[in-house]
Amino acid sequence: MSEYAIEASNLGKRYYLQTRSSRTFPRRVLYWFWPRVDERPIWALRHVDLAVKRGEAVGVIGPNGAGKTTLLQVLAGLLAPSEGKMRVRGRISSFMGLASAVYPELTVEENLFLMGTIFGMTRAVVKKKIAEIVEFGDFGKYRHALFTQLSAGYQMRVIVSAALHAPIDILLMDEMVTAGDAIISERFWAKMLDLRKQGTTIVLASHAMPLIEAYCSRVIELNRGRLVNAGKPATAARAYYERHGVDGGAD
Amino acid sequence: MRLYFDRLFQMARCEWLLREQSNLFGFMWTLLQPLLLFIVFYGLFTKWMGPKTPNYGAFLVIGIVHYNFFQNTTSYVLTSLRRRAALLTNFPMPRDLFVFAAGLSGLASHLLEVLVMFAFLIFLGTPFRSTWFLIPLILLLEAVLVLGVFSPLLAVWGAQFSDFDRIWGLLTTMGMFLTPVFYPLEIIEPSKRELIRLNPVAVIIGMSRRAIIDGQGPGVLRYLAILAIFAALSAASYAYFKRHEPHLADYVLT
Repeated sequence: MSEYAIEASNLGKRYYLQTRSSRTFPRRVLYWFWPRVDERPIWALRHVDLAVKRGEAVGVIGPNGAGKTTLLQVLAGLLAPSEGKMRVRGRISSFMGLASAVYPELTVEENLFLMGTIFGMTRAVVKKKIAEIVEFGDFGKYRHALFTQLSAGYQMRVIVSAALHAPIDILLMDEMVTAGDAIISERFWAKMLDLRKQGTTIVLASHAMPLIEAYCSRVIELNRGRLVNAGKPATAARAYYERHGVDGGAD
Repeated sequence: MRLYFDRLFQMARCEWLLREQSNLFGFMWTLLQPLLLFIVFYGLFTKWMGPKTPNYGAFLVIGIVHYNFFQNTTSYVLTSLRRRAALLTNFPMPRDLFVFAAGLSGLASHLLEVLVMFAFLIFLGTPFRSTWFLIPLILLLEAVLVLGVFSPLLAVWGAQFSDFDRIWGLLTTMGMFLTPVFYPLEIIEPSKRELIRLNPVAVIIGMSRRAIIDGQGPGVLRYLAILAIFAALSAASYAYFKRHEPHLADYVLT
């Protein structure tokens, strides 16, 4: 068995910036005669090489628009790469846009079953764990309420509680996942620490260097879609701050 | 495999609850469309069609219920990927789940509509026939046509082209007049009848009417031949979907 959970070489992802009407049927017919007359290509990722060992936690840093989320989406198989090769050994769990797994018009319990299966649990497992999930998030009194009736904080509690009880093999995560209250945020990051200790492979995209330094053993830096630096969290963070003229609060 | 079907069940259930507004009264609104169509067509055409078509009320309601399923479910499936774009672009799972969940929710509503249709047929005085027990087989054929043949194709095109729902709306509106929903095939001139007979929805409606009104089954060989054709087309449709699957997130993001 390979020691690498994720291997990617020369990964590239190209988009075409389009006008609003570009994806219409008549416009597509026009493109048969005049290919992409009003579309500009833009590389969100280009020539990115990445190898993540099993059990390793890698941080991905970079300014807005650097390609961090695009990299995670390509690694998760959500977007097809425009060039390069990629191999993932294991089941991917995605902690990006967790709130999209919810149907707000349904009740909390209905959403728990839906989210549970989306996150990778069978219905039987969700049924078995539902009491534990509810207790973890402390939302028992809202179990049968409409999801939309909950406050934003409680909504995130429900979502994060469900996500953390799913089986996780390789975790791809955007740090915005815990836009919730302090209690659930603390429980979430404590669980992340457990996952680290259990040897879960983690790729975390974040702007927050303290998080990266706490949870990651290695960091890669992206800028304008390209890999510009890689190394230990402390050195990579220092280089990032110097490159972008940011006061990182170094000792 | 177990996880796939659990996801499919949960997503289909949630889609159905959302469509029917989570209660029986929501389902009543769904029945309103075929009921209003029936009232309008019956009121307008019974004087003209009635003498040519015995049991015109039953004839009409069968056509409307089947075409309604085709039109509504295909339209719903067509937008399934764009509607769930956030889920599609954030969670790695088989993309066909979105398509089949939407299709199954439509099928669930259709099965309830068929039950209501039979109650209505009995109310109209349509005599019971032993061939009514063949209806589940005809519904199976219909499900393969809508979920297997049309749904994967429409879902891809609906994701690729932001205006395809409008195009499909126009096509299905036109299709209603090119399908013998409210008229018998016999009033169409013979040279055009064969073209309409090629319409797969017309095949389903015709089979259903013959079983319910005339007490005639579809014939084993004919049924199996049609099922085989639909199954082959479904395989081709699914292969087309799988070819586009890696790019679906790109389609809905643009």
